[in-house]
Amino acid sequence: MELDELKSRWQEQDKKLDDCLRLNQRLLRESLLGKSDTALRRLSRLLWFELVVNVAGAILVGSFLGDHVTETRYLIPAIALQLGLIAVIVAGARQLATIAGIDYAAPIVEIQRRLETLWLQRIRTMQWTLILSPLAWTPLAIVAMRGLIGVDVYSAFGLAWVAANLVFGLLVIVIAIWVSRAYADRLGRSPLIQRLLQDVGGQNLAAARTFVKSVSEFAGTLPN
Amino acid sequence: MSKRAGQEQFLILLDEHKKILFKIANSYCRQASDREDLIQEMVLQLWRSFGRYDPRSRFTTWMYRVALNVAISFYRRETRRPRTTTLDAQAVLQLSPQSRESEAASRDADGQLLESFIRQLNDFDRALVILYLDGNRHDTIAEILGISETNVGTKIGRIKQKLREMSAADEGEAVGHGTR
Repeated sequence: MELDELKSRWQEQDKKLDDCLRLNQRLLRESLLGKSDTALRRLSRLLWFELVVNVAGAILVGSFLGDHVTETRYLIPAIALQLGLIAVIVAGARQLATIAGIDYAAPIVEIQRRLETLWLQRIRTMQWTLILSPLAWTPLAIVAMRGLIGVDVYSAFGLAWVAANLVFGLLVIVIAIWVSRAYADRLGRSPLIQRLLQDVGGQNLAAARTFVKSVSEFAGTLPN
Repeated sequence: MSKRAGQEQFLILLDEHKKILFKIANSYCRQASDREDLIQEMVLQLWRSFGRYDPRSRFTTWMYRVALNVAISFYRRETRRPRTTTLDAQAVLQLSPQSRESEAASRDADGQLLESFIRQLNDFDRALVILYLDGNRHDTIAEILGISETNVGTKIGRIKQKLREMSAADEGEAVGHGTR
């Protein structure tokens, strides 16, 4: 069997399609005018929302920093939180910039590379956010309780409580990475939970890198 | 051009070339529901990109690029999100019931081989084969994919060789069954 024989067969089927395919014009008109949206635009909206929330958070923490600049016990957790927020804001802004550069009408190799770059950025952000969030809890509790209700966590719960929370956070990180690497495919039936586990475990990052390599191979920039 | 006039023009062009969407969806998805999802996503992306379409270039080249880009990325990432379109209940592209029956009846050995062959290819080779089977020239295929014309020729040669090997393996298997 030759590819050109299959080509004739494909083109025979193609002629038949003319008569039997019907475009649902009414449905299309409704959807084009309606709220239907593409996946990329939904992601863009989510990123804008995340950006606004994180910028608002950074402003609040910045104000807290200004008020407690001379108190080391508040300054250190606030700086840690602020650095985390700035990193997340930069990552979100980079993803939005990548999305802005995506035009689906560009050549396939170029767009698939850009989409995969976006995906890599998203996975890395998610991976670091999930990994570091158990550690962020302690500075967040110190800053939020002082800033919102005026409670001093150090005096209310003691230094031992603060240290225990930090150690517990570290343990959670180690266990989460181990569980994600070992059981990501088996835990959780929901695709969302599986994706989060695979983000933490690094499987999604590896898959995205493999895809980028296959794009380069196809484009002829890497040997097959 | 007003939005309404643009929409009418888009629908006329889409209707003229709807087969492209059907063939791409058929090549990338096994399940009918997945095909419908993919066609919806391709149509929406085409509409979103239509404002930037330059009428001096060929509509089909533009359409292949957008539709293939959506098809390749769609099942890697995007179906993991819940569907939020208003198109869920009905299909955008409909195949008449009679033609569905006649299509199933006429699916002979060649048709099955073609289908299984296309599904064995990776996402990019699949796009290349669709473009080749649709009768596009090497320079057009190169323009759509964003690779060199020489690269297109080399890849088509490799795909032809792969098909020969697959066909020979199938025949060998059939002979093996016959002599048993």
